[in-house]
Amino acid sequence: MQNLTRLFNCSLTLQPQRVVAPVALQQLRTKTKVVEKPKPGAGQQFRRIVHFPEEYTVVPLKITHLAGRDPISGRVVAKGIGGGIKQQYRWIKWVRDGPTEGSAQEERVVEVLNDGCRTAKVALVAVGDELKYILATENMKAGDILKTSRVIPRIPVRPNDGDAYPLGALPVGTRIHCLEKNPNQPCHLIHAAGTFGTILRKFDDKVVVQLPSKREFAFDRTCMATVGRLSNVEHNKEHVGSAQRMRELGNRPRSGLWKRKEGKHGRKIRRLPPMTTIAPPPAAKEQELRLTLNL
Amino acid sequence: MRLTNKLCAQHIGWHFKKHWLVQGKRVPRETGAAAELQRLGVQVKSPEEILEPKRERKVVNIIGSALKPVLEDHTHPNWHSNPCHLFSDNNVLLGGIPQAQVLTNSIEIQNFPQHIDDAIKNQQLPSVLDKNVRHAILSSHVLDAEQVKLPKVKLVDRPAFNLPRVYGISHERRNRLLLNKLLFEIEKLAGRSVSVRRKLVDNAGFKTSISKDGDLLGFDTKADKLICSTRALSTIKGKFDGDLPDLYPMKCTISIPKCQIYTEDNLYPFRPDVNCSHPHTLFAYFDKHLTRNSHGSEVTENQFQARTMVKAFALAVARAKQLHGNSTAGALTRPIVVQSIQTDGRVFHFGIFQLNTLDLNSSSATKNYWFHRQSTELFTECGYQAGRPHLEGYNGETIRILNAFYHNS
Repeated sequence: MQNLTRLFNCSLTLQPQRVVAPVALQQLRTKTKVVEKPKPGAGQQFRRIVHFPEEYTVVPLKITHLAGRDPISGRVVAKGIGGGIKQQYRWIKWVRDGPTEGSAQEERVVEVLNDGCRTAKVALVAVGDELKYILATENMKAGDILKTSRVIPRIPVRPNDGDAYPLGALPVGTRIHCLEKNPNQPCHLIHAAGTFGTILRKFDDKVVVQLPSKREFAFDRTCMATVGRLSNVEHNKEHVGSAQRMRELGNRPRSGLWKRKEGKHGRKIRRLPPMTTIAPPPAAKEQELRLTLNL
Repeated sequence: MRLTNKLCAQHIGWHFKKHWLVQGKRVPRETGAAAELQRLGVQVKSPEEILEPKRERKVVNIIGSALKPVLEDHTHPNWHSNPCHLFSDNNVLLGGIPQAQVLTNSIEIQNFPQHIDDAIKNQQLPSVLDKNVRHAILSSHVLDAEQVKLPKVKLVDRPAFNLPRVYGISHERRNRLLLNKLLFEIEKLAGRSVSVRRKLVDNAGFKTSISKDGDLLGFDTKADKLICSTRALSTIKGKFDGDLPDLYPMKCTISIPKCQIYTEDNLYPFRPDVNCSHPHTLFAYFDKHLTRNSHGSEVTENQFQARTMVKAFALAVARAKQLHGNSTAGALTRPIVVQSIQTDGRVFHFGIFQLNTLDLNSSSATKNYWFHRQSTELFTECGYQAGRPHLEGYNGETIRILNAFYHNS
C-alpha cells in the first residue's frame, strides 16, 4: 500500500497530461501485453462450447471446438486438446424432479442412444408431453418404467435401476450415480461411463457415499441420486488403437514428459483421507471493480 | 550503478505496474457511509452520474429500405398465451400408431375394408402392366437426366471418412416421376369413364386445428399429390369395435412441437362449390432427411405408418370443417372417407381413414376408423450394377392395391 501512496503522490504532482494517442493503438515494443487467462481444472471446460438455447430441448445441439483455448482471451489454457470429429451434444436434464409427497412419478425410457460428447450412453425419457435425456444405466432398455420421488419414507425403498430418490430413502449398499452435491445445487457427481458410488452408512441427517475415487463423503440426506451403475461399462477397457483414433477423439499428441515411476508422477502409497462432509455451496463471487488508472 | 538485468528486475516502475494489476481490482465493501449521509439529508450520487450524465435519445421513426422484421415473441400479432401442438411435414409421432390412435380417437383395423380386399383379389390386369411398371421404376429411379447434389452420406463406424459427394436424381423428383408414371398406367387401364371423375393436384397444402382434452392440436401439412373426385367416397359398411391403447405415462401430444404463434383458420385446397372437390386419395412422400424425430433418431416403421394416418386424418378434418363450419364438433351425419398413401419411392404404405366424429375427447363414444395393412415394397433394389440399370425383387402387389384404391368410389 505504501508503494501506491508514493505512486499517487507522484501522479498528483505531475504537469497537466498531454493528450496522447490511446496506448492500444500505438505499437509499444517494450511493453508486455497483460492477458488474463483462467486456470485449467476450475470447472470450466476448454474442449468445446455448446450452444444452449434458452429452453430445454432434446434436439441435438451444435458445438464449437475450442482446442484448449479460453474463448475470451483466445489463449491456450489446456494443453493436449484439439481437433476431433464434430459431434452433436445432447442436453441432459440433470435435475430429476419428483413429487415431495404421495406416489412416485413414473417415466418411460423411449430409447437408449450413444452421445459423442460423453462416455456414458444417454436415455431418452418420456413423461406427460415432455421429452428429456438422462444418463443411461447399465441395464436400462427401451420400455423401462423409471420412478422419481423426493419422499423419504421411514423404511428404505426397494429401488430399480434408473430410479431417482433422495439419499435418505435408499438402502445401505445401493449403487448410485448422478448424485446431487448439495440439495438444489446445480452440480451432479458421478457421470463417467461405468462408474458408480456406493451408500456406506447413515448418521444424523447425513449419508456417507463412497465415490468412484474410493474417497468417502457425507452428503445431506435430501440430495437426489439415481440408482444403478452407468452404462458403457467396458469403456475403460476399450483400446484407443491408434494415434489417428486419438486425434479423432480430439486429443493432441502427448508431451512425453510423463514418467510413470519417477518424480512427482511416481507411485505413492498413502492412506485415504478420512471421511469429509460436503461443504455447503460457496457464496456467489462479489463483483470486482476495475480501477482504471493507466500506468 | 551499471544498468544490468539485476537492476532492471528491481525497476520501481515495473514493480508498481505489477502491483497495480493486483491492487487495481477492488470489491467495494458496504461501509454504511451512504446510509449515514442519507440520514443527514445529503444526496448520494454515483460518480458516473456526474461524469457521464445520461443523455436522452430521441427515437426517430425512419422508413428504411426494408420492412422491419416482426419479432417472434409476445408482440407478434398471432401470439397466443395458450400453446398449440403443431404437426407439420417435418415431424413424426414418437409413439407411432398407438399415439396416432389416441390422438385421432381412432380404432386400428389391420386390414382393408371388405370391398377393397375383394377388388384387389378380383381385378383382371393385362400381363403387360408389370412390364410397364418395371419401366416406370427404372426410368424414375435410374434413367432420369437430373443430376443434383444428394445429401451427404456418413459411415457410422468411420465417422472421419469423407465419402465423395454423390450426384443423382433428387428424392422429390424421383417420387413425383414414379407416382406420375404409376398413375398414368392405372388411368390407361381405368379408361375415360373413371378417370374423368378424378382430378390430380400436386402440392396441395391443407391446414386445420382441433381441440382434444383441453389441448389445441394444429395440422399444417401438404399432400404431395392429391386425387379428388366428383363424388365423395362411400362410407365403409360394418361396425368396428376396439379400445384405444394406453400410452401411460406419456400424453398423446408428446413429441409434437408446441408453438405460441399460430392461427386457427381452416384451409382446404378447393372451394366446396368446385365440381371435383371431394378428397379421394392423398399421396405423401417420405424423405428421411426432411422428416425426422426431434431427437435425431431414424424414423421407425411404426412412426412411418402413423404419419400416413395423421395426414389422412388432417385432410378429413379440414374437409369436414369446410363443409360444416369451423365450429362444428361431435359426430358427423355423413362420415368422411380419405385414402392415404405414403411412399419413400420403394416402400408403399396404404390406408383408409374414416372420420366419424370430430369429438376427440377420451370420453367420446364414437370412434374414427383406420384401415391399413403392413407396408409393401415395390422392389428391393434399383440402381446401376456394373454400369447397367438394374431392378431386383419387383413386387406386383403394390400396383394392384394402388389400382384398387384408384377405382374405389
